[in-house]
Amino acid sequence: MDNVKISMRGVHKRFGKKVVLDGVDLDVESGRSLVVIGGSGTGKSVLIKCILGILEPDAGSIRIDGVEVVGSRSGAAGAKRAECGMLFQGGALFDSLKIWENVAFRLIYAERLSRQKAREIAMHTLKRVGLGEDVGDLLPAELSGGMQKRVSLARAIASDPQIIFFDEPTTGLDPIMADVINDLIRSTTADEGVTAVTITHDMQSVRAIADTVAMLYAGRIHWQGPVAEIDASGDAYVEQFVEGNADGPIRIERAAE
Amino acid sequence: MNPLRVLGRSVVALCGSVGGLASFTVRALSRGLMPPYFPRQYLRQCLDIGYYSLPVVGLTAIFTGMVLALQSYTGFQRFEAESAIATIVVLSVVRELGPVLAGLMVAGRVGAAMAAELGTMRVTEQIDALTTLSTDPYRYLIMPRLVGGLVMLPLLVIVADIIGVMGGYLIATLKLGFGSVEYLNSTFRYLEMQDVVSGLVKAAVFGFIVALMGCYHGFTSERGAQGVGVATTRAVVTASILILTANYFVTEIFFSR
Ligand SMILES: Nc1ncnc2c1ncn2[C@@H]1O[C@H](COP(=O)(O)OP(=O)(O)OP(=O)(O)O)[C@@H](O)[C@H]1O
Ligand SMILES: [Mg+2]
Repeated sequence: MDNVKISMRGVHKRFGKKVVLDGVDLDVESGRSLVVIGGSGTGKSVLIKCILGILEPDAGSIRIDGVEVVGSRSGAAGAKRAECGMLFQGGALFDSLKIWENVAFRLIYAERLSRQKAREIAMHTLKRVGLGEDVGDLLPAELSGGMQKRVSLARAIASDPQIIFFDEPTTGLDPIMADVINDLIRSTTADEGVTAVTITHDMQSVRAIADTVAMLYAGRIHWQGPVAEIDASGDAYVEQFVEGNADGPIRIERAAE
Repeated sequence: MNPLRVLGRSVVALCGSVGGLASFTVRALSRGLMPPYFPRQYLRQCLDIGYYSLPVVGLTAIFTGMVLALQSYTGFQRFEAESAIATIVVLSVVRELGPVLAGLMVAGRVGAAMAAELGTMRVTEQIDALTTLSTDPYRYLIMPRLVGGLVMLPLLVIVADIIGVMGGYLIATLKLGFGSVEYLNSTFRYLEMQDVVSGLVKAAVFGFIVALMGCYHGFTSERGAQGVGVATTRAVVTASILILTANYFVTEIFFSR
């Protein structure tokens, strides 16, 4: 139990009448890489926004290292959330700041490093995601979508957080670059002991990144298991998702709605 | 439909939005007054609100001064009271027109820009990204704008006052045949400190109103481009109405004794 980093119990979230999370129970082990899969619009992004405190769950408990963070304004909860880094699905780069200032944002403003030092770290981190020095002084609008995604990834990892959330890190990237990013995420967890939670639709990413896979369906964790079992899960929902079939239980229930 | 119900509903809606605004203001001030501060942000806002509004406010002021001189000349000629023109111009500009027109122009220029910028940041999740980078959006985004409005509008109004009086002076001396020394003397003869101070207090109040409306509507913007558009419109309209309302009450406080 003591190597559980994030523990969620009975997390509910709805928007108006639309129930998105309907009692999510999920544990993320420390230093491991969890991948969350699930259909578009099932609430994967909402799930990690609840952990980060961007959205407030309607009910339920979320603990990071045993510290309750739901509804808590305490310093301890704030400190736990400060250990988290996040790659947003849409990038969410600050468009009035240069690329390197985006990457170095937390170093400059929260950790109060000198701009000089922060810039060095930012440039180094940009290199890790396959972007050159010349990119550093551009503005986000001057980059392609895939480049913005990588800058956003660099921003998430630049200050060496203990827990990192990646919301679709490889969408919009070419297969080679996707593989580079997969390796990067894999090595941050394997080598640096970081806990990672990744959302992806890309089964190749799942196999490359995951220690554990959890499938979100109908507001709950429908299936959870080691990545090695994903092809022999014996669960019709997971099988359908992994194989990408149009036919299967997921489709049928949607049609019945 | 039951008219009572309609009335009830709009009263509830009004209370809701007043409550929302009040809690936003309290939160912004209580958090924003505490460190950390962000000097670059304060500087950028002061430049944006103050320096870049100079042309707009200056043009407004000079034509207002000019038209005042012309109007009061043609009006007062009938009573052979042309000598009062300088006093009329300076008192109208310093007490009323300088702050009100500057406030309205800045509401259109700066308030709209703030709402659009913050609304876009909200929609593209940049504000959420700030919190995940351990930076409080109220301290980083809101407080610099509020302080910028509060501090820069009085400075703008000092400039507007000078330019407005100069506009009147130009028309009076070049077109209406006043002597330049005589005009300047009567400009300052009846001008009291209280006139200037009341104008500057108004300016500070208006500056705060403009920034607050821009921030509030931008910060709470609904999703999507349409949401940002609505936020921008609301920021300008509410700021303008509040400026004219506040103008009455500040005048009342200063001159009713
Ligand atoms: N701020 C919000 N207000 C209202 N509804 C929301 C909000 N955020 C998300 N939703 C709703 O919650 C549901 C889940 O959204 P979410 O973004 O978590 O999906 P997702 O699983 O990440 O999908 P995708 O794989 O396409 O990114 C959607 O139906 C969406 O309409
Ligand atoms: Mg998503």
